[in-house]
Amino acid sequence: MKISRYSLLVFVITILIFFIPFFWLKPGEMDLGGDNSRLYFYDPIAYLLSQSTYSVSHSAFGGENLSYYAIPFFLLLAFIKSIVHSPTIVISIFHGLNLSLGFFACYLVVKELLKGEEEAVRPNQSIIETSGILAGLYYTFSPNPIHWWGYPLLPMNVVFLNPLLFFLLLRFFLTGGMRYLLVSLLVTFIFSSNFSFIGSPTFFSFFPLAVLFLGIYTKYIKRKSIPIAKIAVGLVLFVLLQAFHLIPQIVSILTPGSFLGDFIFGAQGKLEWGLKYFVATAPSIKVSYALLGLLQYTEPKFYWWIFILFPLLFVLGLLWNKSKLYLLSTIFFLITLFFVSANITHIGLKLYELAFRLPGFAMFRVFYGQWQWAYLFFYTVLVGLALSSVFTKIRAAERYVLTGFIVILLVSTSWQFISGQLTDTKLWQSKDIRSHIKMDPVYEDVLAFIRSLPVDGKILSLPLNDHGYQVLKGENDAAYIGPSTITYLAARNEFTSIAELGVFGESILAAAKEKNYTKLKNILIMLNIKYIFYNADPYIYGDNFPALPYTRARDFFPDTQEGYKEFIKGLGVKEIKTIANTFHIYEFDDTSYIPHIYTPKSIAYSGDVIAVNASTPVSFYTDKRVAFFDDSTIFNARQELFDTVLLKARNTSTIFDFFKKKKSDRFVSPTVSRKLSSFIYPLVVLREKRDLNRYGDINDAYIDRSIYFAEKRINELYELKDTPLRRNIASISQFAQQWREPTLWEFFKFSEYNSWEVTLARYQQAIKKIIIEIDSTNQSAYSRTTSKVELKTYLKEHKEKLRTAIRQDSSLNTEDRRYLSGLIDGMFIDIHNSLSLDLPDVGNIPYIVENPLPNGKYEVYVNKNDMDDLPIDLSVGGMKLSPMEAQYEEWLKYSDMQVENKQSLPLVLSIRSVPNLVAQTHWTVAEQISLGKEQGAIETDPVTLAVMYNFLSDTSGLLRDIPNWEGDTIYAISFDYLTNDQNFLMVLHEKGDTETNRFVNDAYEETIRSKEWRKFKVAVLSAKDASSASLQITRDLDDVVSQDEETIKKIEIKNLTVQKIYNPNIVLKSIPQSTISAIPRITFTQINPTKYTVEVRDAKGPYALVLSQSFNQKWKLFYPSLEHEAKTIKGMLARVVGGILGSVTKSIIPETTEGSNAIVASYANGAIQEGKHRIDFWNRDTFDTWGFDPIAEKSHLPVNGYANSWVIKPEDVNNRSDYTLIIEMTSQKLFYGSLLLSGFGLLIILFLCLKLFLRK
Amino acid sequence: MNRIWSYVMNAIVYRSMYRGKIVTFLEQNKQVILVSLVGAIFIDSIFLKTSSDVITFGVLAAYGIYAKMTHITSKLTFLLCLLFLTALGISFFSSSASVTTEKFSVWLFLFMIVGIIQELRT
Repeated sequence: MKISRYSLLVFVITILIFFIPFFWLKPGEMDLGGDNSRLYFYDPIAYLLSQSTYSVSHSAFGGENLSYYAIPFFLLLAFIKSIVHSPTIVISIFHGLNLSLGFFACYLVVKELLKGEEEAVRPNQSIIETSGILAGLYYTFSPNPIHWWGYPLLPMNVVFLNPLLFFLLLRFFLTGGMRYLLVSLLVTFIFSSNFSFIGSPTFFSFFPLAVLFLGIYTKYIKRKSIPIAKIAVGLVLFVLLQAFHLIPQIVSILTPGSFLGDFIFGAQGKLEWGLKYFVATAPSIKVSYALLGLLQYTEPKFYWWIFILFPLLFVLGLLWNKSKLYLLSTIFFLITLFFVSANITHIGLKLYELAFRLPGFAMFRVFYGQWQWAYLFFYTVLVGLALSSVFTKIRAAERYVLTGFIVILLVSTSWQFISGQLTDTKLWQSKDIRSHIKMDPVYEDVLAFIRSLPVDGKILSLPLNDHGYQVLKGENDAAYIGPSTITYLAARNEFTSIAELGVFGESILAAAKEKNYTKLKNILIMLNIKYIFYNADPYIYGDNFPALPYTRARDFFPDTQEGYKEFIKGLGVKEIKTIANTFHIYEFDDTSYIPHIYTPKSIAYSGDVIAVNASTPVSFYTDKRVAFFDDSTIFNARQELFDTVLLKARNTSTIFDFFKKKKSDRFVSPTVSRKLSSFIYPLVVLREKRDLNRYGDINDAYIDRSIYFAEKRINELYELKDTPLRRNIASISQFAQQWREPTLWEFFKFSEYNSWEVTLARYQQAIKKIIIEIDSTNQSAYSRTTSKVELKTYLKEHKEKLRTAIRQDSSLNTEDRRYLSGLIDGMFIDIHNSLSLDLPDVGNIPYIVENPLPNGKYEVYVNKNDMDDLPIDLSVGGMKLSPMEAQYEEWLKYSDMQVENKQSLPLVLSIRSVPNLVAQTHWTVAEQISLGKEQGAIETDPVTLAVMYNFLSDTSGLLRDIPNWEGDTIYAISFDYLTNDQNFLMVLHEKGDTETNRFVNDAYEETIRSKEWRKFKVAVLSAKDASSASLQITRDLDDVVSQDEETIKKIEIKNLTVQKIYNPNIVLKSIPQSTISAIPRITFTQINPTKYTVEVRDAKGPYALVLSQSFNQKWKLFYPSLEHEAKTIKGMLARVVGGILGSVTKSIIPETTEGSNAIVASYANGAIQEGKHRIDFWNRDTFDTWGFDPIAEKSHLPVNGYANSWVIKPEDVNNRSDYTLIIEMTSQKLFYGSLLLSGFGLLIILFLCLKLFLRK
Repeated sequence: MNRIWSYVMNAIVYRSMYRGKIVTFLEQNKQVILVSLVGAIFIDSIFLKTSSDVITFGVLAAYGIYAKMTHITSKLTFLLCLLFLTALGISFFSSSASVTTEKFSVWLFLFMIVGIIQELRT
């Protein structure tokens, strides 16, 4: 067989490209990190078993995780790794295959298309080959695709899949040869990830267009019939092949209430996640970058303009090549250009935005990335076709020059990629730590030990980080930052970050910051944490990673490894293993751990959200085997289940409403379109009135709209310069009472609006109207307070804006400014008086206990730690409760109380004397202290601050430390002041005590000004991570600049108080009346992560069973017996199939009893035993539950803030006392069924392939 | 597509009572109009910092009518594409992805579509 020189050249180039990635990694190195880990290259089998074989995640609480799609690919990786052994070589082989196959397939596509041109326009062989090779090189080395190799994700195989499948389908469409279709199908099976849910953006961006192109090309250009019947067969086979991951995924999406279903079909996913992101990013995307094939969001390089060459070729092609193929390719190029750039005219952008209303289109929110592969492919095809057109028009010598130029351009501009510099990235926000890691062999021992841990409890990994990462140091001083190896390779449920702690996170952070180990342990018990894995390596938690991934965690957890050691000691855990003196594994003893599956000793209703405040209810139990429900609907419907009720009293002091955000930000500041002097301004006024009249009720929307229009008055004064003054008004308040809006018939009085005073009067009228309406509405006190607080915030902004307007309006002279400043100040005093937003009494705090409030006797508790040992009194309905002897360490106990037929129960907590935090401190002047002078502290009251007007003699003013400042706490600050009508600024500074929040922040600031003594009062909420604070009084910008630089500004201050607003937990605990007659003994065993058996002994009555795994309706409890056989057709069919498969399985897998009864742990004096957990993907009992109805479905409820619970009654189990239950995740059963279909499809394809091969 | 195109053209041009006069006027001032349209595109791209669909589609529609009535071929449209591409290249070289560069990119895109439609119609 003769091999042409072109074929040889293509072969050589393909081989060269294949070997490029072999130079990227040094022996032993791997690039595994990033958001989407590539740990599968490191240990494909472990990754497969942990992530893809079962439908539950090993991360955190263990929610549903459908990652079956990667099974064939991981098996292929495992197969290759078993041959080559080194993960470095596996990575290089796969990257090499991706690049070289991408090049080769593009070459074949272009060659095939050019060969198929009509004879009249068909270029010669040399041109076809050259164009094909150059197109392939463009596809591989152009600026856009090479950059993605720095962070390759699992669907990155799209690089070769798109052109390869296009070529195979092209051949299939043209020849009708089934072999092309069958090979395509096999390829899609092996790389199923690209045809799965996660691969849907790249799939839907390319294949519909590709098939359309092929259809048009075959039918209208090649004038051949489309093999419809074969395509239909291919589609059926495709669906069968992909069934193993598509069916569970589709069922999951279509399950009512599923997260994914809501996400795809609901407004949250379509608009919030999709459209909002698109709208935010689209304006930054450059059409020119796309047209030149450049990378978006990148600083332009000096040579980028050279890439204009390729669009130039396209246009020249259009001028010189009139073939239909060329026009068709250009049309598809333009279609993909539209999708990849989005910014083709406003109408185009609007249409794109409208597409986001289609279910599923939100997958294209990162459109420039998700369309880029389809765009690159059609761009490449056009490059090939355009080159052939140009080559036919130029001389041979020019052809060589152009070819050489393109090759040099592509190779030189991608040299960083070829040499590996582009992929050898530094870890983001690290101290230049390399990402190509050589794994420390010692860490393999760690993973092996973790895999062998006997108890099926969860693991807490420390140091904790922010977002589900793990940091590991490599042998070569590089590091891995990516998803945790414990979750992904050791297949153990693990919490490694704040994000994974979900709603429990905030309370854990608070407890960690306070170093409240009791509280922390109470929460960790609820989370089923048995082990702590601690990486003590200073390399991974120190200067090397000053920010990510520990940015937030550091503010709450210790910020040094030494601190962590102390912290772990405080938790009272026992060290069970140390490896290389770096990796430590600890375990909690049985008093601080409840097993993965347990029968609770008590079922309690807690009137507080468990996940937010888990420590409170747990602290009332010595034996932590309790099931806590916090859903009042469940409690009201099933009161008979509960033996204890814990009711948290709600603090009803309005001061807490000051800091609740009722709704999201309401509007952007209004724009001003008409001048006040305009003769059509009255129409603006009329339109505003009509707009407000549209609202029937005084609700949040109405108040927002009213504030919006009031703010418009401020903006008119701020934005419109040269607004005239009347200069004859003493007070805006008085003027506002007299001034009347011209009626519609007084249209000629349009100039009436054009003055500062009138606009201010209209503003005051509008604001006062809002205040009256807020007060008169029948909304709750909470709603009124939040509306007033919101209004107050805007008033502050408006005042600042008016002050700026006075300063900046050059048409005003000093007198005018002084006049306006006085008017504005008086107006705001009047408005604030009307607002009457006074701070409530900080010494008497009202509480309420509300429905559900079942009758019975209650113990009353106040949390001791929340009260700083202050003397307090507690009263109910005016009756003081007497203190009792403490029963629990953290709680003060008060006399019991009886509740009978009450809807609510008001309580009052009185603090006899609320301390003034600044009672022992004094004002200081910063500059004097810094000079070391003793007279820094000023002990007089009132204190006076006098500063020179001269701007150069600046001063920091008065400072006062506030001791004992705590994070996330409300404080009331008040003082009397007199500023002699000049502006001063009151600033509250806060800072934390950790590395990242050690800088001072302005927590609150307000300008103060008065002609007489006035009281300043404000409530502030300290930042979560604040640990100290100080007050500063300093001068502020003046509204009127004084001509006399010697003028003295003076402020006097007295009676400063800073008081903490106490908010202690008050809990009413019912006296237990047990309804659980007897708790049976159980032995539970994990068969695999989606299936457990529970052997129950001595069950005498109803009892509860808890599975400490993320709640999901698909967790079902089975008791396979004749009575529970499903009576539906689906059930009968499933039973028949399950019976056959079970029989087949039993004939294949021998029965074994060895080790099956081994008990690895025993709890509560043997009442709960844990069998040796197994990971059996397929065993003799796999199909035992097929065709059986689950039991106790109605009592399957969320418990402990995240877990699953069932209440099992004797009738559910045919009144037996000894039996075995099966807990199973049903999506795994669906997977088994779907896998059979895929297996069937694969067999058909292999059979057809064999048949074709034999026929040939 | 062809039918819609014909319908629009017929409605605008052939049904007009001034059809003959307009055609004559356009043919007599063919080059002036072309230069004006191209000039408008350059003014829009170089001097106007905001983009308006009214201008874009107005000019495009004017070019479409002009092309239809004066029977110019796709070659001229593709030559104009070449002109816009040259302007794009110069603009990209001098100011990277500036407003001007972006506008020329969009004009190039739109004129490529017009050219392809003309080519398909012939």
